This record gives sequence, C-alpha cells and structure tokens, in this order.
Amino acid sequence: MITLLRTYWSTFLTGFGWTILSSCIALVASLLIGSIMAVFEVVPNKTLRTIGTVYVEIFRNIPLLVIVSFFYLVIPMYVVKINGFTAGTIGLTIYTSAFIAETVRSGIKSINIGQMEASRAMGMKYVQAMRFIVLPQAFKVVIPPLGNQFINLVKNSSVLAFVAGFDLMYQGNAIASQTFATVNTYLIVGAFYLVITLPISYYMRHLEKRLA
Amino acid sequence: MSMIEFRKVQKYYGKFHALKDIDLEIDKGETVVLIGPSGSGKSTLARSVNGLETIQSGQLIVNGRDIADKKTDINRIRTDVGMVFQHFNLYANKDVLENIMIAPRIVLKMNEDENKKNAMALLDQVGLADKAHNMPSQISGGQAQRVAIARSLAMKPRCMLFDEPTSALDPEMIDDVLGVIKYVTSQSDMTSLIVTHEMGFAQEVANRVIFMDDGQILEDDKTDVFFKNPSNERARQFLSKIISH
Amino acid sequence: MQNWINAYSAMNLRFLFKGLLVTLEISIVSVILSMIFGSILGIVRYTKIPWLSEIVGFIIDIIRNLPLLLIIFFVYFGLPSLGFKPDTIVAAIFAMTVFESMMIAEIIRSGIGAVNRGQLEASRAVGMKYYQAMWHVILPQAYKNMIPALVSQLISLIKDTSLATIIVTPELMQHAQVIYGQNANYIVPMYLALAVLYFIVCYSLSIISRIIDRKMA
Repeated sequence: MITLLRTYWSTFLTGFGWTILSSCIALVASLLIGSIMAVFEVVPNKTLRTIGTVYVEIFRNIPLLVIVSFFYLVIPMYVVKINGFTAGTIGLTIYTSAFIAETVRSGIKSINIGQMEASRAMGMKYVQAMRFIVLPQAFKVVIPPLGNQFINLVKNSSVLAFVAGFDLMYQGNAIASQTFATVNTYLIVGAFYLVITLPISYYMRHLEKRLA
Repeated sequence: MSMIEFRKVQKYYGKFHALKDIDLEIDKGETVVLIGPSGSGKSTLARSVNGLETIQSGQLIVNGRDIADKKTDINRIRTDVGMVFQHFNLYANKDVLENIMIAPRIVLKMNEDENKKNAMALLDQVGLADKAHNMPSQISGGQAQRVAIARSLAMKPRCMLFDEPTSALDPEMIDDVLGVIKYVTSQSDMTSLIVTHEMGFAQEVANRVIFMDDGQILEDDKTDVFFKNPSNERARQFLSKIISH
Repeated sequence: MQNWINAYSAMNLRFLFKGLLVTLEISIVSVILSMIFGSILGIVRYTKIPWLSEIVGFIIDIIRNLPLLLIIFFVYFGLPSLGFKPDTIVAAIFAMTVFESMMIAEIIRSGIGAVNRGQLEASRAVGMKYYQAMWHVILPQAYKNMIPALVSQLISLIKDTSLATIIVTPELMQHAQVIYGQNANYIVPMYLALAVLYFIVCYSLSIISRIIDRKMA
C-alpha cells in the first residue's frame, strides 16, 4: 500500500483536488439555488411556490447518476460541448440544491411566524423581512443539516467517475485497473474521502449537541 | 422494622457532592415528606431508593436488601417500590389501560384476566375508569398523574416514592391528585416518601418531615414539631418564605 | 419522432421494466436487511456498552462517511479475494446493506435519543429490564418518530441502486444503457424514461410517508 501511494501519490492528489474543487463549486452554487427555491416554496405568490415545489420534488426523486449522465451525454449532443467534470458538477449542483432547498425551507418554517409579523408591523417589506430577519435565523438552525448535505455532496461527487470527471474515484479506478491492486487502491481512495468527510461529520455532531 | 434505611450514603455527580453522609430510617407504614429548596438533593435522595440514581458509597437497604450490593437484583426491588414522577412519564405509545397492565404482565407475569380486573379496579379507584382507552396525549395532566399512580399501585408495591407529583400541574388539578395520594398513604401497611412543596398537604399526611439543603439532612422531626418549631435556622427561613406566599 | 417510437418499442419497454423489477428487488431486500442490522447497531451504539459501543460507533462513522460507490467496489472486488464470488445482484445487495445499515443505525440512535428520558425511567422504576423497556416502550415510540427519516432513507436507497450499474448489475439504469448503447438516438428517450420511472417510485413513497405522518400526528 505504501509503494502504491508512493508511486501514484500525484495521481491521488490530482483526483483529491478535483473532488474538492467540484464539491466546493457545487456547494456554493447549490446553496444559492437551494435558498432561492426554498424561499419560492414559502412565498405567498402561487406561481413561484409551484416552481419551487416542482423543482425540489423532481430533482429529489431522480437518481444523481441519471441527472449527471444526462448532462454528460445529452447537452454535448444538442447544446454545447462540455467535459465530464463540468457535466458532473452541474448535475451535482442541481441534485444537491433540491436537498438544500428542503433543508432551508424547514429552517424557515421553524422560525416563529411572529418574527415575520413583527417585521411587517415595523413597516418592512416581505423581502426585507425575509432577508434581514427570517433567513439569518433560519440559516443558524440549518447549519448542522447543511453540514450533512455537504458531506453527502462530497460522497456523491464520486459519480463523476462515471463521466470521466478526473475526480478521486475516477483516478482510483484508473490506478486499480493499471496495477490490479484493487483493494489497496480503494482503501487509499477511501482514506482520502474520510479526510474531508469525517472532520465535518464530527464537527456537525458537536454543533448539534451545543445547539440542543 | 424499617422499610428504607440509608447508612452513610454519599452520592456524587462528577465532582458535585449531591448527597452528603445521609443517615435515615423510614419504618414500615410511615409517611415521610421531604422538603427543601431546589437543588438540595431531595429528588436525588428519593430516586436513589429504587436505584434510578446510583450511590457511590454507604449502604442503602430497601425492604431488607442492600441496593448498593452488586448481587442485589435491582428489578426485584423495583417491583416492591412504586414511583410517581413529576412529569408523569406515561408510556406515550400505550393507552391508559395498557400503561397500567404492561409491567404486571411482563415483569410479574400476572395472568391476563386478573391483570385487567386489577387495572380496571385501580382506574376506578382514581376515578378514571372511563378513560381506559384514551391515549396519554388525550388526557389532562391531573388525570395523567392519577393514571401514573394507578400504574405504580398495579405492581402491589410495599413502598411508594412521589417525586414532586404536583409540581407540573395546573392549580385546579392539584387537589384531585393529592386526594389520591392521601388515600394511598392512609393504607396502614404502605410506606411513602413524598417530595413536595405543598406544605398544607405535608402537614395533613406526614408522620415525619425531613428538611434537606445542600445535600444534607438538616432537620428530621415529627410533623407537628417541625411546623410549629423547627430547630434548624435554614429550615425556619425556608418555611417562613414558603408559608408567606 | 420515429426515434421516439422505436425507442419505446414493446421489447425495449419490457426490458426496462425487467430492470425496474431488479431495482426494486435489490432495494426491498437491502432495506429489510438494513433495518435489522441497523437497529441492532443503533441500539448497541446508544446503549453505551464499554468498548463495544465505541467500536461499533467508529465503524458506523467510517462507513457512513464513504461514498457508496466505493463500498460497491470494495464488495465486488474485495469479496472474491476472501474466497466468495457473488453475482452482481448479490454484490449490489451486499454493498447496499452494509452502507444502509450504518445510515439506519444512525437514524435509530438519534430516534431513541429523542424519546423522552422519563419513559425509560418510568419503565425501569416498575422493574422492567433494560431490553424489556426498549422493546415495549422506547422502540415503538422511536420507530414512530423515525418513519419520515426511514422513508427518505429508503428513497435514497432506491435511487442509489443505480450506482450498481458500474458492476453491470442488470437493474433499471443498466438496462437503459444497454438500450441506448445500440442506438445513440435513444439516449434522450431513455433518460426521460429513467427520470419518469424513478420519479414515480420515489415520489409515491414520499407521498405515502407524508400521509402516514399526518395520520399519526
């Protein structure tokens, strides 16, 4: 295993880098889209509410692999040529944003209605009350579940391997098929994933305990 | 003949010394009320009698068996000692009747017909026979506490612990619950230890009153002596504060 | 237009449907096994048995924080070196069960933790043993509260079976790939079919969960 790591360390690290890059881009983008969709789901406007609900329900109930493969195969055929990394990251973003929307929405719901009423009574517009009073409180509540979403995101980014997305799992597959040291290679790949996910997981549990 | 006996009992929560050198004897058939400010250790003392709190040293003998002894079957003691909690703790997944019947069934292996007859009789005693098939969430706090008392009595205990049984109740519900407790304690062979803030009730039912503060027993007197002329200064202060309200 | 009609030929639809059945088969077997193992592990972790609970907790944390895809590879490539060569469906079920048991163990642990502590005390106070209190009082309440979390875990399990296509398990995703592998014009119709089929299965489950939840509240 040591020899394997020594020979292929740069390949592992490259994959690790792409995995982190893809996860971070998808995290930022899906936080943005997810929050917008979450707000859509709770506003009084019926059209927006329908858009939000439909978006969330569709993408939560279709496998990530289907979404990612669709972007990888179909978009280049009809729209624009994109590589596996881009297709994978877009797919990850869309899939994750649906879950983030759900998390943020329940966060908003958990904020006492009195907060909104008090803000409106002070003359704030709905958007202002949302932006300055409700959402900041909601985000505090949803930090632990969002952390879990991020862990899922990092784990899910392994589907990039299906679409040649250069990520950790993809590089692992490549090394495994070259060296036939399959089990050892995947042990190292696993360790790399744990380097990201375990600390977040423990930190989130610590946060949950403190908030409870 | 003593039912409960504490001998030099010490209890710690980490570094916090919750029970300090407790010596206490409660005889069979006695009704003892335990009072004191919050955090004084009175609930801890009551809860240690059936082993919900474990003591670190000393002896605690309940119905002739030492609780601190590892060889003692704690579940055997618990069938002899009933407990009523401040927050009732009715089993949320069982209806009222099942709440009463489950422990006799699985712990005492009581015959089902006898169990049911017994449970209905107890419900009748606490005035709630018509609530037998309600869920705990569908009855009031006062009713829940009366069910909880019936649940304890179903085990035919020799001794009852009441841990602030009326503290979580709305004022208008308290009397019904106290009435049931009074009936339970009045039975000649029942030993009771009651943690409460209801001084009028204490005066009425207790043979003895124990005052605790800071993990220690500061006063242990016959009821009338205690209320007329407590010897301990802190007990006196505590009484004057409570009674002036 | 002709492409779409050809893509959805009776033969292709039957083939897709066969894949869907395998997907459901893997999901149902895995979820039953995972509920059993997950409950045991979750209770062990909650119970704080010296050493055992810590070791179990550590294993749960490690596996939960790895990609399922990696577990599938481990099972598929690792088991043969232990002298056991499973077929692809068994390998998929094995991998899903290992992974999902850990996820469910975590749900069970927090579900038990969420049951009011007084319930355990009241059970112990009447002389019930720990396992009796768990079985008769704590677990029924915990499972009831956990139904939404368990159903959403089931939904993600069903979606995750699509990953088993990597070891050529003949499930829905794999069958769709076989069909569009013959003709690139079938790609879009096949992805639409995949989306619709997975959506119908998963969305109906989430609706059922919501109805149960509302009924019980």
